[in-house]
Amino acid sequence: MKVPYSWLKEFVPTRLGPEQVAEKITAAGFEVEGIETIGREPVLEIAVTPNRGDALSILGIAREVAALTGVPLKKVGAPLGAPKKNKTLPLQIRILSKSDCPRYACALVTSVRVGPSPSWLVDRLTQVGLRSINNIVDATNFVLMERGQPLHAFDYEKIKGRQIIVRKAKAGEKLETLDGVTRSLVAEDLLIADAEGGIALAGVMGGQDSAVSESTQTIVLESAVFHPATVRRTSRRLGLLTDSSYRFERGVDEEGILPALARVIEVIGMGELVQVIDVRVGAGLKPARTKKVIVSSSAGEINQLLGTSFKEMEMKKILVSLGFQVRGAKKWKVTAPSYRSDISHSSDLAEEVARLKGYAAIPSTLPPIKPQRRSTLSCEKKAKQFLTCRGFTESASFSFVSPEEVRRVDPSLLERGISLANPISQDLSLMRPLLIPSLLKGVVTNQNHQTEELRLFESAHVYWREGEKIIEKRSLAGVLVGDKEDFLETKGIVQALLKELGIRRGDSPHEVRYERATRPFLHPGKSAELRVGGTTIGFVGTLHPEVAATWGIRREPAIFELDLEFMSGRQGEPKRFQELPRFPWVERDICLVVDRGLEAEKVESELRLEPLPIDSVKLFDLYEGGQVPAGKKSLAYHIRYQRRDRTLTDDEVSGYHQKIISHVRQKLGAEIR
Amino acid sequence: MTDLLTEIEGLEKQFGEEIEKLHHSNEILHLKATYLGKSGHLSSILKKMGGVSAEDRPTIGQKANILKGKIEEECQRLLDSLKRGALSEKTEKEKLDITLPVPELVGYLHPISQVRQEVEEIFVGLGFQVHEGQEIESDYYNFEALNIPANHPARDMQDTFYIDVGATLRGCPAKEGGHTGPPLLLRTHTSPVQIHVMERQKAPIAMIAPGTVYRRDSDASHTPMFHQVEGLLVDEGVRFSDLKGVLELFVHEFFGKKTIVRFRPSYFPFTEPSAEVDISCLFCGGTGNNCSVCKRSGWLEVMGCGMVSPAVFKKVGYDSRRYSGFAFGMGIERMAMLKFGVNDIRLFFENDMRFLKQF
Repeated sequence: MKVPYSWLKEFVPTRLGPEQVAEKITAAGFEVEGIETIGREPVLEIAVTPNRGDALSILGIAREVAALTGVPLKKVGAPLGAPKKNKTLPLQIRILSKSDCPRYACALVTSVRVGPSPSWLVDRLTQVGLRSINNIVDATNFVLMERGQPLHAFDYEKIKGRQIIVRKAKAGEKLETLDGVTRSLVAEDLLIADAEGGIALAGVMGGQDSAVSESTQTIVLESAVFHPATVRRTSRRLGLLTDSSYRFERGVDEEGILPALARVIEVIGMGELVQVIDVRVGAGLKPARTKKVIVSSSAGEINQLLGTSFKEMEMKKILVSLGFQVRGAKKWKVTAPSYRSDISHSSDLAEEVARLKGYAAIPSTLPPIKPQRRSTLSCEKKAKQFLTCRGFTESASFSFVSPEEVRRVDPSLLERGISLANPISQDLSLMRPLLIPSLLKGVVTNQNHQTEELRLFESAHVYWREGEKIIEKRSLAGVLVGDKEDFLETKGIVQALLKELGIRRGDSPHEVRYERATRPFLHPGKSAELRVGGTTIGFVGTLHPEVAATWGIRREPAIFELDLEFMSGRQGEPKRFQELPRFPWVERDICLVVDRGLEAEKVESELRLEPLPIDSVKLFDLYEGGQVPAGKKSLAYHIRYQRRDRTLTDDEVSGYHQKIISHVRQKLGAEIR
Repeated sequence: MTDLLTEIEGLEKQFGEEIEKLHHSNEILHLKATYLGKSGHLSSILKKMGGVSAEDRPTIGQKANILKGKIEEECQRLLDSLKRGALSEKTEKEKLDITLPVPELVGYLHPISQVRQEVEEIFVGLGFQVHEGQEIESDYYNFEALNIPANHPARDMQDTFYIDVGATLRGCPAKEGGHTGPPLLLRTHTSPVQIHVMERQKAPIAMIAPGTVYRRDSDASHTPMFHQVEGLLVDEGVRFSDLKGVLELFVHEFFGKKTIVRFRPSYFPFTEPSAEVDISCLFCGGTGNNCSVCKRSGWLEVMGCGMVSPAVFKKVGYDSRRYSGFAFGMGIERMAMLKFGVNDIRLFFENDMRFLKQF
């Protein structure tokens, strides 16, 4: 909000310069974002927080400055004059939607002449960023800026049936607003209507048909209070944010209504006031007491919350300077001024005291914190550490992606996808069900900067729908682009990572098994599903060459993605010490030629022939082509034999080894070399 | 007797002359054998001891022993030195250019993660626990429970992304009787975690909640997704002064001891009193002189905080007469930008190695 310095000084004749005022009110919670010179006037640009609708005016800021400086607030403007007798014109006010409009007042002024505004008025409006329209409209805008009370002027002659009805709009009802747009209304909009139809959107904007024009002679000046939420709903729905709606949303002062009418008549400075109508809902036309909030508090309570030892007298003085009434010693009953709708609790009063004393006046202490359960190193943190040590760099991408990017990876994921109702753009509209597309984007980005070889990983949430249920899980994905066959290397990294997270490779229900994957974006020959028990916990594989091509990726990256939430739930097996072997092992090698399609895991499990004392079976050579017949492959293993109770003899080992040889010959049809 | 002594002396002299000409270990071993072997020079001399008087024998024996020791010692010394020479020749041959470039297999943790970890470590050290929450939230946890009712202007502080709950995906027909519950949204702050934790457990609570948040905003200083760390301390007798103390300590740990901290009144619907935390500008040292980072003010806004509002305690069923607490929140990207001097927030999400490698 713009506050011209000299306008402020009309209310508080402070000796402080604009910069000093800015400093004071910034420290009190009204951040001055800058001081601009408009014409020759220094104008303070003040950010007013949404709870302080009362400060959205020159008067509102002046009240704060008065409290902060101790300079008393000056009364500006004359009280409302008495209407001229014997000149009443017919006008009936009816409020049908009482909860939306707690109070509605208006003044009828005859014999006005619509024309240009005096230059002082034009200057003031320019300083606060408003354009001059005519003397009547300008006067209402001036008072809005000065008092925070939105006002509207109707042309009396254009009010049909001489009645103003405050009612809900009918669905589909039309109203042309002052900006020339015809608005289609809904049943929750609050309308100011005459006998025939709408003449203004309550609290938002006036109607074109009833607007003041050059021929207007009699005006109806409206000064009312509308319910904040009602005004906000309509203003949001129509995308129509006005100075008026902004203030109503934040709450206007019911007691400021009549002074605002008086001030606008004074500013217009012509014509004859013939009638003032003031409708207070629930009390007919009789004045009703505005509901006052009384808050219980005490100096002790405030000092306890703040950690201060301010004196009671000091606190009371601050509250009084801000317009509060404080009754009682020790135990207080505090009444907030009518314009402070934000006050409802003792902590609100503590804030008033604290901000006027300045937060710097509150000491710094360290609270005793009771011992908490230790936070264990999360699975995610471990994985991140592991991967960075393996040369992977962490990426971070938006959680929303383009549906097209997901389609290019796996179109079936779209069916379960979660979209945003109001995305920034179509390209950022789908909550990613997989991290891989984001990583591929990272590969492309870096490829464009001549970085081909790359290791990236990302840890973030992924989202999809299962029926009506929304699934959101933490996922961990990686991509490795090298210059050679990357699948096996990546598998090795994933396997070691899983081990780090407490999941070993193996056949038991707690161990991870590799099964051939069938995902459309993976190379069918070089990809594996990772399965623990019956659950798929992720995959590792080479990106399908066709997918790589659609992304414009020149190499064939190896990728993986893991369900990190699955790992977090696991403790890993407890660690138990095993006695170290005291007798040496004996190693024998075996070289088998088997069918090319036979999987190494199968071969290994056959080599571990029960109940032989085998310590380990380790593949050390894989060979195809050359001396090996077509469709076959040669596998060479070191087999270590060891007993824990004694040294094995050479003959024993030879016997075991022979047993294995005949077993795999028979079982796998292997030729032994 | 004198003859034998002269012979021993002659032998010694001869040995001295011969050994000097030798450069290989086998020659030295051979020389040693010619002198000390069973039929060596020294043995032949000693064989003549039979013709020496009994009283002279000890003198000659002693002399011979001394010579024997000397020959052994000399040979060993020479052998050792030859061995050393050979080793140093080997190591000399193996000498490498130690300034050769080597491949660095190193990955970088994203700067956001680095800052997040540092923030976590500071608060964990103070006794705070780390909690996480979901990003798709209900209106209740993101707004209502935090005292931000529908149609309240405080909702303008954060522009929200909503989930399309009608299952109306492109190419996918809307399901019959789709989701009719309250709107689902992407959390606009990490504050909902406060509510979840207070619903789950009783006071005292000391927690932080790092996480991803979303606001419908996009320019050089705003991305539609960013990260925050939320903090909450609830116990009997927690005071605003405690909030100041904890956050000052944090700022000093994170930005350095010399950083000046300022608390300024502000407004958040879920705290009362509320404050904005400013630090003295890290780029101009707080002078504001021609500084574009702090816009010449000398101050940088880094955090929002305040005392937990009684309205929030009421929502989670805590007795606000017994308990009080403070909450705070900070943007991780903002902290990272200040700490590392990054000037465009969008760089954090482009995954350009040239950027990531710098941290």
